[in-house]
Amino acid sequence: MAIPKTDPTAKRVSFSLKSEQEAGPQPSSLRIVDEGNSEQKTTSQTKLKTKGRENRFFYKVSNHQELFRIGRSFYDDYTAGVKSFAISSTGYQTSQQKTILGLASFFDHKDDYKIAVISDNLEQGAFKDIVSISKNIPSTIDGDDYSLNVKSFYNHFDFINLDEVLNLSNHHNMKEYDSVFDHIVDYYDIVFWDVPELHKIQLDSERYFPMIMKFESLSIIVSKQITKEKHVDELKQFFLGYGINMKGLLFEEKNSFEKKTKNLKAGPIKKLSWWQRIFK
Amino acid sequence: MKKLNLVLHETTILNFPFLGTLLRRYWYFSIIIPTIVFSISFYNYKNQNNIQKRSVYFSNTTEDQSGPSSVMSSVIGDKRSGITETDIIGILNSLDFQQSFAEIIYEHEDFYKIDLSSVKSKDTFNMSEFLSVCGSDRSCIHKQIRGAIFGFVSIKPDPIVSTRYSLQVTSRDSFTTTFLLKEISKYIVSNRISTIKHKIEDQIAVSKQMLKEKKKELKEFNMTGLKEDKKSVVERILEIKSKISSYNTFFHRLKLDLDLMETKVRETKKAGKESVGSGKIMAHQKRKRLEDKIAKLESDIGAIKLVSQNLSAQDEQILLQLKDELKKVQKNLSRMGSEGRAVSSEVQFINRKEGESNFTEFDYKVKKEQFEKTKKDYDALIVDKEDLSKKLSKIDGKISELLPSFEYVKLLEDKLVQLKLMNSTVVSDLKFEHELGPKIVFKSLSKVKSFLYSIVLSLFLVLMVIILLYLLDDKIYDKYELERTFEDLSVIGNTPDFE
Repeated sequence: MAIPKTDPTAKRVSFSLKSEQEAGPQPSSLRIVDEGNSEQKTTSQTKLKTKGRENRFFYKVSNHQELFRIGRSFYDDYTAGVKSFAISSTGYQTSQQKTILGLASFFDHKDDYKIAVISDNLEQGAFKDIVSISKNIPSTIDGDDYSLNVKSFYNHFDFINLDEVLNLSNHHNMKEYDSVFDHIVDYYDIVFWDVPELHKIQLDSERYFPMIMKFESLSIIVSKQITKEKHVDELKQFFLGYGINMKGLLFEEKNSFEKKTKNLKAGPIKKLSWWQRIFK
Repeated sequence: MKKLNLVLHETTILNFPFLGTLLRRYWYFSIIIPTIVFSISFYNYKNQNNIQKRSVYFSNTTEDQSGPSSVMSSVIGDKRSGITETDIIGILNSLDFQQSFAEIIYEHEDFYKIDLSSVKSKDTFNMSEFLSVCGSDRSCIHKQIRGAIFGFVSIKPDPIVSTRYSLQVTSRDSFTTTFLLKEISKYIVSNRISTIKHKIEDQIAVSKQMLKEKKKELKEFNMTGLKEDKKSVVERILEIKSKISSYNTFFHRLKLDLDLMETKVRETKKAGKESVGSGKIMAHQKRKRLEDKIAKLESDIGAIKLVSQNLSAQDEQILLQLKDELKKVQKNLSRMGSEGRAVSSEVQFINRKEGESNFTEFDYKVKKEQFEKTKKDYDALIVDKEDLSKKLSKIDGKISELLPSFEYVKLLEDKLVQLKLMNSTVVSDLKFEHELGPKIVFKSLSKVKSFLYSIVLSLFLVLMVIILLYLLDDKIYDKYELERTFEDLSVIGNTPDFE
């Protein structure tokens, strides 16, 4: 079985795959391959963060109170044993990404966790800038037969391209495509799933099925003035159909955010007249 | 349903804070709807006709104790209540009243000057055009006029004085208002007089008819004959009573006399039948002999003494012997005491009664016969009296049966007189004031009303529209709404924002 390594200096990550019969009931099948260092540590083994590991991205969050509120809720779930969190919405990928970044920053700020963010939109939206400056760490699956591009953002969290993982299903000789997701979840302390749009999943449900089955908790982002009740219901019913635990709803005050951004761009905040304040 | 629950509140019915949120959410409707409503309201207010209103006050004198009708009614004892408030207000609703007025007004010289168009109408009124639909059909014309005029007229009670009312006319033409006000008030007065007269005449006719019937009924029973019969029977009864009284006294006296006679006869017979005992008779005879002997001796002694004053010895001897003899006899008589003395009185009584007995029995028989005759007459009088009493009670019964009818006839006669008197003195119970009220010009919907209606309508429409929009709008707008919409899911919080 693979044994993960948490050493920040690790140069290569190996998701070694073996059959379940061979693996047996042992706790971990993931291993970070580092030729120079054979030291093995379990995911439960954490060490104190150094000054150099501080996550400055965390301080860019404008509504810390809200982040702490939702972060605490997710943290409670984590302490209760939940480690695979899926964030979905009715088509607002940027909101999903921002939420995932916020939560990943919270967990990263809280302790030294191995955090993975799995998304099919790493080159777009909120991830774009971060991923672009992230360090590419080569990783292998099932020996050196198949590789995955894992992007590590200053060792705070790793980004995995979901499409790459899904593409593994195209390898006909691959015996246990489903196990790839197991290995990823097992390897990291916390995994955030940037859930693709519902229609994508519905179109190719066979490939997405192993991913869905790894969701231990699903949160749906509801965007103010945009999200419709029926769409949320549709999404909810879809994942409930797979028996996924619905964690709850995250509300996005998008308009105020946009306004604030505009105001920031426009300059100092102007005092609104009484009638503007009423209809604000 | 979830959405509707959000709009409703268990205490205040409507969830006002949420409605406020909806108002802000759909702010454009909150501005546009009131603007439209107020604009339409303002336009309507400006385009209204000026309505001319005038009124005249009148009083209901039947309820006023000093009114002429009530005074007359009280004088003749009539207690009718007169016209009520409802009747007064409803006068104008009477189709007969409307029809009659329409007929009168149609003949009026100023009829073609009046404007009978609706107060909301914008067109110029032309009477000929208005009546042209009826052609020459007078009935149709009257109906047409009736329908138009009485939409302008109303009667309102005075809020302070209960017997006071106001006749109000509102039309869009000043002349029409004043003209109709005067004509209708005049017609109301004449209508009231004719109504009251008609009512009284009806009552007179009914009373006469009833009186006639009752009198006929009484005539069949011959009330006068019955009264005369009663009088004669009463007189006869009184006569018999007097006779009975005198007979009664006589009869009782006769009865006492008869009883006395009967006793006398009985006792006389009894005395005659009784006999004196032999011992008593012997003693009586002995006493009588002794008394006779004493008397003889005394007479002899007296004779001797009388004949010779100088008695010879012989004479003296004889005298002495006689005296001795007298003494002896006296002595024997005194020895007998009272024995034999009563027998003589009894015998004497019996003898006397035996002599009287024939007269006593005769008298008794006479008395008895007289008594029986008197008794027979007395009994006959009693029977007569009873018969007459029965007859009297029969007559009384019949009279008492007829008495209510008789009284009724009397009352009817009185009533008839009253009604005739009233009919000749009828005045209207509604008295109009001479002065008409001032002309008031106004619009059918006042500024304040228009403003208030606009506010209410705006509020209503805005609420309806925003609630409808909200119900049709499937989007989620805030966290509160999100919580209420997905009650089975918890809202974790807001998504993080980045600077």
